[in-house]
Amino acid sequence: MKKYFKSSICFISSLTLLIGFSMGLINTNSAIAAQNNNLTELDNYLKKFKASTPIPGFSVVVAKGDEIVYSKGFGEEVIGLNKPMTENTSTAVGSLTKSFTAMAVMQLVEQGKINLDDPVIKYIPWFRTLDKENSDKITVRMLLSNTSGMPSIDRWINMPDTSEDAMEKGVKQLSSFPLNRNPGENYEYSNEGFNTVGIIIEKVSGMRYAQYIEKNILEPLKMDRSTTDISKFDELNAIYGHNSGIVGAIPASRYINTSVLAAGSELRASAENMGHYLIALMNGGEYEGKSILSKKSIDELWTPHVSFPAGSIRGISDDGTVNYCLGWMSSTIDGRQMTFHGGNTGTASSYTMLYPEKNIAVSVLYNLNGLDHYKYIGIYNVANNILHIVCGESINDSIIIDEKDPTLNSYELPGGQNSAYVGQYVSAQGDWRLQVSEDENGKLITSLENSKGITASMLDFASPSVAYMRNISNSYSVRFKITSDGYITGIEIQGLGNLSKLNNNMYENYNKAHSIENEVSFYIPRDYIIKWEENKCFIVNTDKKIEIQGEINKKGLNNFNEMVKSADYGDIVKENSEHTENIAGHLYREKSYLINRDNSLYQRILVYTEIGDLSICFSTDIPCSESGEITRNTILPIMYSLDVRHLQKNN
Amino acid sequence: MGSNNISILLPGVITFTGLTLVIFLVAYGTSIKAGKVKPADAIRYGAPEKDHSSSMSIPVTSLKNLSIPMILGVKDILSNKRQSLFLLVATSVTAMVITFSLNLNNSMNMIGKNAAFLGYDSSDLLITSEGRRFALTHEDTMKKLENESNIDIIIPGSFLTNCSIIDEKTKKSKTIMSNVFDGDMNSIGMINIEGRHPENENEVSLALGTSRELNKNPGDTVQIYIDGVKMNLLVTGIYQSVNNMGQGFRIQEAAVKIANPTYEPDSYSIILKDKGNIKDYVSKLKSKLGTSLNIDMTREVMEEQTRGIVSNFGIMVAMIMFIFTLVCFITIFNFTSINIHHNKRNYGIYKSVGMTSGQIRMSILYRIILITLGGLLIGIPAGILGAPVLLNLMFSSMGISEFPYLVSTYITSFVVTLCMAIAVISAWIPSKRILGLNPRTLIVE
Repeated sequence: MKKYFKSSICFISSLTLLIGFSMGLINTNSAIAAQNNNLTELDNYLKKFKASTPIPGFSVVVAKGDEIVYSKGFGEEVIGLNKPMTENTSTAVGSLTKSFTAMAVMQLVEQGKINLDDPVIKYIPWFRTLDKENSDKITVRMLLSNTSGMPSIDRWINMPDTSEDAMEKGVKQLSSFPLNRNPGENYEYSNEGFNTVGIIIEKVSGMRYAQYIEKNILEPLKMDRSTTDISKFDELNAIYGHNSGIVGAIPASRYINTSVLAAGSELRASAENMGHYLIALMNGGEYEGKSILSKKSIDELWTPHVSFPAGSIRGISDDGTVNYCLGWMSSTIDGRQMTFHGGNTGTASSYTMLYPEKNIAVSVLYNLNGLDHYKYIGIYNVANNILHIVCGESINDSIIIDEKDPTLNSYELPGGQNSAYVGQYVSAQGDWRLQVSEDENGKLITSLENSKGITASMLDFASPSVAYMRNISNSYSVRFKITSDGYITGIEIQGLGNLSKLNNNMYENYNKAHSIENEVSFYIPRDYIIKWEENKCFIVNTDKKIEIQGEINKKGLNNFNEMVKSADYGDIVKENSEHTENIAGHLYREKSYLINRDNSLYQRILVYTEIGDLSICFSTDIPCSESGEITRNTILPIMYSLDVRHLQKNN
Repeated sequence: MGSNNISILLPGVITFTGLTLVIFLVAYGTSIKAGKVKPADAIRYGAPEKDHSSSMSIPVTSLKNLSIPMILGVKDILSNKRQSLFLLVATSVTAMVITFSLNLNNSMNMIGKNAAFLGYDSSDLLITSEGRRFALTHEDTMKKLENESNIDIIIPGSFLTNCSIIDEKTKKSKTIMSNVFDGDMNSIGMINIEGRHPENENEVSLALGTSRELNKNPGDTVQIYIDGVKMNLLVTGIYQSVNNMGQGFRIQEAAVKIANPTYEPDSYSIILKDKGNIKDYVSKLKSKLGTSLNIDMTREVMEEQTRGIVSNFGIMVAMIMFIFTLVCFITIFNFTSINIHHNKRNYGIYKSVGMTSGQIRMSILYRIILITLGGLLIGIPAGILGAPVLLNLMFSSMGISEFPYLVSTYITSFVVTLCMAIAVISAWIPSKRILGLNPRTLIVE
């Protein structure tokens, strides 16, 4: 009986276990099935999103617990190059770099090398702003929480500086800027604050910032498609993103990068790599068994220090308030506590969002700065939607745009007035150029150019003077300076300042030259003739025995260094160092040599620029006695009038 | 009203000419006097014979209640009228210049309290949109500000740079800046020196400089281009402003919206209910509004803008005071020294009849004090009453016809004390020589 009873117990137990196991298996299978369903839904959502927006390409990674559950790219890396954007495409993440800088600091805090509440001057004795007494009070924590009172000056964003100490030079320049607020008093977003932290990391660790991040964060996390070292961007084939056009995007120029803002915004990363970072953050600093930071430090990174209004951005906070932590932001979104940070570089953007309660996180990387928020949902909404979908939840309706752009209006310029606006406008420093022209439908369009490329827009007037430059990303307010007799003398562009209109008659003694495919045009003096041979041109004045050679290539097929190396210099008397110069919105790299040819001294000039997807170079040898006159009347007008129209037309 | 553009060289030319003229006249006058010296008299007395015709008999009975030194002091004043007049002029000018300089410096330092006279509003806070990250729209900003229980009045506004005004005489246009407000400008303490603020979309008030240049007064119409749109506006008032050399105009937002329907303000003048502890309130408000809005105390903004002028002014005033004090000191010192030298025989006689050195010194002091009091009675009212006229002339070309000149009782008392102190010290020191006078020696001489 006893044996019978035992057997029965064993049988029931086994049965229970079997049922339990089966149930568990069923549950697991159904969970997997549910997740697969969610991921399929996510895939469909992202495909639909891609199809409904003009973003050239984007990549997404979703990490759950300690694994990447989804990573994929959509669209193209660069329009026209037929290379798909994938989860391995390295792109700029912008200000998300700040979270890496904060993580590096916490590593040094754990090593006892940094105390968050020590003043910055303890680590950088020369550090100061214009207000020395107040800047002495700034602590490391204040810099990381954006409460130092230091403003984002952002003056050096477009300044090419590849030198190793570029960031330090930038921080030293803070000595001539005042604080916007008292240290510790309020929130004040500051790129320069994080660059200052970058210098602290360098001083404390004895390594360059990029080197430290690579060795202590990127390598342990196996982020092999990521770097903050600008000299490695090309090795990773990091993309340069796109500017905005009227109906689509325009490839950005291969602009010269700057290390000035390295610790605040210079990280390049792939979506897949970002997944590793997210896993480490969600797993107490561990990735594949390696710990890069303690859970306690991660909690410190995510502890709110100051709150501020979300402004007019809808969907990043339920109550309109956002907290800044240390290199991270947090708020309640759709009733859930979220930690996040975004980033914009002007030609790319990113958004990373973590849902710590469910251990799910997402990173979205665009190769465009953003989209017009009155027409398309924001990148933060996309990230939030992804988390909802992965959690098996429906997408929240609150993020659907229900606002009307207040700048839309019914004003039309009276007929025949377009010609007054048409022309070229340039900034005093030569770093921006605006070209206003008429399209085939008689509408005024603009092409705003700087070293990062061309942004094309449609001009929507609200009065004879006030207009909005509308494109897929933005609508900038502009004011034409118009005299009472109808002359336009310049333009004031919101956020850029004043540009003066160049005299339309300045090229009356010049002829316009077009490339064979009409993609490039420029003015040459009337006493010169131009001959084209495919992508090469020869601008010749037979009387003066001057020949200027030009070459237009698709970006990447030629570059300035190759041009310098391959040129035949003859007998070099003197080599002048290379320099860069902004001329009418284009950043030119220039190099010159003094050469001896047939016992006569000549100046050899090489100029090179990249606009959109093209690289354009000119070179010439000029007799020294005539170099001033020829530079002034021939070379500079070519550089000033250089125009890349095809990009605008296509977009 | 015509143009009031005065060349910057004019004051210099006037000063140079005036100074040269004074030096010439004084030298000429003295040389004429020297020419009248009679050789015989010069040999006999070593100096021109004293002209006694101007001496005046003293009604002794009227002075009988005064002390001997004081009677002697009064006698000296009356018997040396030319010298006394010269001293009176010197002390009057010193008192006037010091009163004027110190009160003007005080007025400049207190400029924050008189913002409205200089074209600023008198709001407590000025909130300006910086258009940075996490920017708030105008609508959102207004909602947040309206929810603030400590905010009493909000007047949105902006500064338009894209305007031009037509001069009807020359038919030429001139680029001009404008202040735009949405609401009652009186409520934020703005003032006009003539007429009233614009209230409707077809009205404008002109800055004094613009009004003078275009010869436009309240009731006239003026052609203005706002954002490229030509508008005929009725001038309702004239205001003075130190900004843009007194050029500009003020209009209501409704007028700008006719030209540009998408116009939005980018600044907010705020009047608070509780004005205590504004700094703490600003700090709290900064947290609530974020970094896209800059919040300043209006008075601080204005003081910041005028700080450079005020500090330079302080240095200038200190230099003027020093120079005039020194000149006054030297003048009285010299005057007293020469006087003692000339009158040493008289002082010897006074001593011989039993007056002490102290009494004689006091008589000298009384003389100087009485003259200085006279100088103060003339100089201080001149400094107080004449200064505004001079200032209004000075600032007229900058668009200010009524400079907010503040007279401080403390400063006036200080001027009295300072002038008296200079007089006493500069007379007392040289009068030490009286101590060394011996009647016997004087008799022998």
